Amino acid sequence: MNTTHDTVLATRELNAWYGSAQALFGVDLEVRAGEVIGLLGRNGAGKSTTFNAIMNLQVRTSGEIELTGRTLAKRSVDAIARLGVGWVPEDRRIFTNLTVRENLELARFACGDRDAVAVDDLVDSLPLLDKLIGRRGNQLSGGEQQLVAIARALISRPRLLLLDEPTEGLAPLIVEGIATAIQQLPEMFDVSILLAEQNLPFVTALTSRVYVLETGRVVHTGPTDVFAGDAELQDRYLSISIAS
Amino acid sequence: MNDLIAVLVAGVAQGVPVFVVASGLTLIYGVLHVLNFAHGSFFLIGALIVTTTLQGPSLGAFLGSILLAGVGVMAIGVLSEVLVFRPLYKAGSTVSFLGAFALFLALLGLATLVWGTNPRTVAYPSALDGSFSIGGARVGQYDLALVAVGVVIAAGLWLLLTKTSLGTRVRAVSHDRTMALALGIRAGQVSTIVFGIGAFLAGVAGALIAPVSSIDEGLALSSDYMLPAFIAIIVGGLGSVPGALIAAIALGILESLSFRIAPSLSGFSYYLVVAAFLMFRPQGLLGSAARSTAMAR
Ligand SMILES: Nc1ncnc2c1ncn2[C@@H]1O[C@H](COP(=O)(O)OP(=O)(O)OP(=O)(O)O)[C@@H](O)[C@H]1O
Ligand SMILES: [Mg+2]
Repeated sequence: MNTTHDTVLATRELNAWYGSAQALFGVDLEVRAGEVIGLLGRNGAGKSTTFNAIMNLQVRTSGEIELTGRTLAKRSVDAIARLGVGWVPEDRRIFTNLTVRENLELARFACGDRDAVAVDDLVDSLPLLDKLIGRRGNQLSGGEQQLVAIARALISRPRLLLLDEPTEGLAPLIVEGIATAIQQLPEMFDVSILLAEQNLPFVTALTSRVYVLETGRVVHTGPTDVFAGDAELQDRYLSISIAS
Repeated sequence: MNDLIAVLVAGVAQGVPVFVVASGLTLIYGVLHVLNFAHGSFFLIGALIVTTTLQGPSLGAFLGSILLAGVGVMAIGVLSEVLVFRPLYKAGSTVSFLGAFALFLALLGLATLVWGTNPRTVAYPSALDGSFSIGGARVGQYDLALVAVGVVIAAGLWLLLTKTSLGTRVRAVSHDRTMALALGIRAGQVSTIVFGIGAFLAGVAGALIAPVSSIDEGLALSSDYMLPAFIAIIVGGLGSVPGALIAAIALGILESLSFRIAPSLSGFSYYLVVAAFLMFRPQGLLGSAARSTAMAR
């Protein structure tokens, strides 16, 4: 694959199928070191499927997927995690039968050859975690779950974080807190982020470039501010627009 | 009153081997979503190993045999997981259940091949062959030893599951295997280890009942131990070790009580309990309703 040395994630001609139903068609993505990149699109556009394809979950894929130059396609999901992909799924999937601390400790096994972040250091970096650490996973609000899910994905020092609609169902004030947390991550943890979202203000605040999906195809890509200023593009590809 | 103590101790002692079998079954169910029917043959083989390895009446020799039974059956369990269940895992729990049933029959056949079909017996270790008087009630020494063993095993499992990293992984994999994998957990490895632990416990349970029961292939499906163990994991909630503990001990006491009070109900009381649970609380005592929805996905 023809990528620059600081490419963290690259997909080429990525196709994905649920059974015999094709859900992704020739998706090309590139995320470079330190970048936060938006993945936009309406409900059913293929954002979560893109993450499933990268993680080798649920879908059958063809095409190339590389993480820092290493091929991911066809590897098992746990091997992909250990190579350095952190996945924060749409429904967060906190282990409700474990404490928050155990949820975090657990992820330390995912490190492969990298050193895990100590849980206490993580709490220092994300102070909002402090009051959650002793709770059980079933005693968290939506926003708290989101924060724990992100923290859990960071423990193993992934190179790439896949965030699937982190603001979904959260109150505006909480969204702000999550945005502030996400903003610090690339520098703090040396991680790049692919952020699937429908919340355009949130994407505008956090990302430098966007890919826009429609029915499994990339229909637009470019700098975030260009997309954020183009009401016609937004009308065409999103349910809600912000530019007047 | 004296009677009550005797009935209680006998009931708990009856419940301990049931709990030891059931804890392994329920752990395996939690992690692999397999109802391991082959556990009955694990249990039988554990008892049979004692009949051949036990050298003399000393307590030390008996403990040694228990350990051999546990380790021997654990080896069978690990091989079973790798050779039988791992290839079937992707085919779903129905196929895995059939695999477990086939394994049950195969191991039963193997056991009769090695040990024959004649019932065997094992003597009590001499140090535990007698009875105490507690407040006037006669209590068997071996029964009391079983109660102590039950406490040790329950405490050991609790420590393992809640205080070790393996335990955290086991609980995570049984809650949401996919998410555990997506965090890099080697869930396959966890499955093999849990299967080994479950088999070890079944072997130990078989060894523990060797002195109190006639040992023949009927043990593999015995209404004293294996059926109550299956009932205990349903009543306790599939996947829950504390649930299995409470259910196994409660069933043991219930059986012991009904034997004393209404002998005609004895051997039948279990089924009343399990029927009531299946009707009114199908997720069991400590099972989560969430687990059944997670499984349905
Ligand atoms: N498990 C599945 N089995 C079959 N088809 C699926 C499955 N999951 C998603 N799809 C289909 O794949 C397409 C893409 O869905 P996907 O979940 O990736 O969209 P999305 O962009 O994440 O949407 P949302 O914003 O609602 O999360 C849709 O047509 C959807 O119906
Ligand atoms: Mg989605």
